[in-house]
Amino acid sequence: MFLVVGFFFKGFDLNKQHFIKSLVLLIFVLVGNSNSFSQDMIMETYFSASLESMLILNIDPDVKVELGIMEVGDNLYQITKYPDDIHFSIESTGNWNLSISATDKYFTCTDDSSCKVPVNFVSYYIENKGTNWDNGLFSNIANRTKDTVLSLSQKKTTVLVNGNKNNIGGSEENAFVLRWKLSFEDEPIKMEEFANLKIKEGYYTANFFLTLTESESTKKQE
Amino acid sequence: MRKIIIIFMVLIAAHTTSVMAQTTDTDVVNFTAILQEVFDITVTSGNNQTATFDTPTLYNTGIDVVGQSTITVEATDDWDVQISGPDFSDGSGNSIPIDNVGVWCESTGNNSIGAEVTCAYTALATCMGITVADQMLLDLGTGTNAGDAADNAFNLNWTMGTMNGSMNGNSMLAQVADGTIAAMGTYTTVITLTLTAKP
Repeated sequence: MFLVVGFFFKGFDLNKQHFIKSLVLLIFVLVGNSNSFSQDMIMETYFSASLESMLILNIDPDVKVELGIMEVGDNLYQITKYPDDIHFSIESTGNWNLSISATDKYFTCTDDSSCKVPVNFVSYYIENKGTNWDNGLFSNIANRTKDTVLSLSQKKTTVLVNGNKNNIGGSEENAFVLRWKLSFEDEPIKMEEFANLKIKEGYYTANFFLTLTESESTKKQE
Repeated sequence: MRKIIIIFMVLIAAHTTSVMAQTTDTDVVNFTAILQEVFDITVTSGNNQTATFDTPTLYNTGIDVVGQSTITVEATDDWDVQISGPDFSDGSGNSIPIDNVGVWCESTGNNSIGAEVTCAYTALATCMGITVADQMLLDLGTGTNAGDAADNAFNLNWTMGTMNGSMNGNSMLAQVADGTIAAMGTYTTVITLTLTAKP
């Protein structure tokens, strides 16, 4: 470019050359200025986010089912201690299922291991205390104990699953209370069975598992 | 005749002397200084930021301090810096809305925020949620904000999932729950800082 300009300068007198040099210089300066106005300077920052899966059951690890029985007469028993309610919560980045099973077939007397009561004499239901709804299949959670109770057994029983909506969430969304109910209270047949056991009075305990597992993949919600 | 010749020689000699005395010449060197406008932004540290969510607390309340980038601006005239970024992507069609990332500014150079420079986002609680479209991060205050790296030095503080200021109002876990964030994994994005000369 400069060579071309220099070629054209030949043959012009000094004043003309000086004028054209100034003009060309001015053009270059103007072009340079317009470039600096139009060009933005860009810098980039690279950002990565790592989302790790999380599936947490928050519960007292030493919790167990404990009940006290006192014989007040012939085949007449009084429950001196009802099993305590158990509060627990779930924190999960995926949909989850919860199942319950007893570790053994029987409650065992704390001071006499030969003294036993079948675990199905205790039933349970789960009360939802979180913001994830459990009002049927179209809710976040389908709660099999919503309107009933289930007998405790060694068989793993799935109690809570995700509904049509995701049950993903933290402890505010997924907060529950596991409440116990003595089965024979409302069932005469079991009451009769209970009487036939001729159980000793005392404190009985049983352990149980709460098993939390991930279920199907996340659903996009409307 | 000899006298005439002598006189003629003297005249020639005198003329030559005077001619020699007038043979000075002058020329000029043309010196041109061109001051081009310069606008330069540099991320001097922290141009890679990583946020890891692996506990319920982080998913629920976010990460206050992901990290810090330091930037400098060298400019011969007034300037502003805008910021933007696309949504995070995991490369498999899943995304995280970019407004889960927040940024707030601190000035460490001679040009102060509130004086030569303005920034509306100077604390975690009032931080800016990044968007796909450019947003003004640093702008001209009073006077001029032209200067070198010592004048225009800033910290950009990054936060994610904290729901502060104009950031996404839902927790990361809530967005996982409602399917906005459809999968776990590693997501990436590139946040762009654009330095522009003020007209």
